[in-house]
Amino acid sequence: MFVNVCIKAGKFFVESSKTIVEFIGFSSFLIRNILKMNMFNPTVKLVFFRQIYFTGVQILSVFSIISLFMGFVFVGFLTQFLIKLNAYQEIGQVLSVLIIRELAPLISVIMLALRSSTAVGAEIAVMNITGETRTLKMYKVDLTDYLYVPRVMAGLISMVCLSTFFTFFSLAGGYFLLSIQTGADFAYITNIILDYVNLTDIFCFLYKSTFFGFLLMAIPIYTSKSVKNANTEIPVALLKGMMRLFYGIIFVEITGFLI
Amino acid sequence: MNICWIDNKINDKEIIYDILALKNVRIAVVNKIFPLISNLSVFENIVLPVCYHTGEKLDKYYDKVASLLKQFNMDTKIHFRQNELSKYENFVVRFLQGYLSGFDKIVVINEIYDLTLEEKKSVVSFLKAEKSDNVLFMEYNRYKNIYDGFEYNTIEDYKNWLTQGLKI
Repeated sequence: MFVNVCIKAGKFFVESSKTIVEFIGFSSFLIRNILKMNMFNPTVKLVFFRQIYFTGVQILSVFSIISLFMGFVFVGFLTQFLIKLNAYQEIGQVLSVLIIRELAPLISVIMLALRSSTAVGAEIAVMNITGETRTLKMYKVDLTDYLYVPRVMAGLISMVCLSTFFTFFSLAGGYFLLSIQTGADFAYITNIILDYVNLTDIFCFLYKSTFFGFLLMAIPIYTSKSVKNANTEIPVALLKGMMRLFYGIIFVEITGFLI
Repeated sequence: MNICWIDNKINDKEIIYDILALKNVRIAVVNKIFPLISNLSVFENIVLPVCYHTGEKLDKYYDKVASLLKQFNMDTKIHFRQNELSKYENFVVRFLQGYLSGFDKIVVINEIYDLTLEEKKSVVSFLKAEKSDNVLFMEYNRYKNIYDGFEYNTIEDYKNWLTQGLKI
């Protein structure tokens, strides 16, 4: 019994380590290709802008509503609660930590993961199965340049922009609730937050947003590119991709906590 | 344009593998195993290889692609996706993709046997009008009897034909 558990744990550890090492290799390869600046090729640019539209623009209406709602819940209620406790001095600090460091990147990555990571993972897997990647290879179109880099860049840029949107939308939502209940003005809410925002918070926000944005696309692509023949491989790859992305989010959250 | 007959014993995949393994010559192969990219339109699919390699803007080729499609009565389908095309239209787009790619040779393998006589004639008349000498159609011997009226060559020595750089 104990031996079996050890064998399973060892197997899991070896396979996980192998996947992590391979993914680090894939990521460094992706970053090298991003730095080669092939994004200016018109065909690559087309994929990039289309992906920006799918990932960052189409989601905006739903994202705005959710951000406003989150603002009601967190900024509004939390500020009201802190006022009741007479903890006026802590409002700015609590809100800046909560929104800028934690909520904005986390909610954005969850929404984008649910919407875009699954789509990109399925798209790459289907392209492998139907032979579309074979067509690209036959025409000597580099898959990394044409398929992977524009998607990763679009994910990264969308993630940073949407996290920033989230910050402002949630503030607006919180302000809306507070202005009805307590008559607080917008300048008051923004001032209590901005007074407490420091460079570390902004650095943490950027670190999380960019890292999340990279993982958001790189992990599903890395997982789906191994799909070769059977349709049954697609759900398996999607499931694996989403689980790996979940581990990636936890990793970024932990490392972000150290900043 | 050349139509060649190939021995029944050799299958599509083997021919494609042998052709793509050739060095020093860039060959575009038109065959069902190289499908169109599903999230691109007809126009984007056609200009993808050429624009990727030359770095030219896609719009530059718009008029040319429109006029080529018009020759196949497909000018209204320039913005369609591959799932909105018939089998013949799908073939035409894959063929034009190779034709515009700028590759040294375009080899169409076992594609035209599946078309109607009218469709075959439209492909042949297009190529005669374009005077293309780098396009090669390869079909199995078993389809030979459906090509009455077309000129063709027979590849006697397949290996030698490959080493000669696909010359007839």
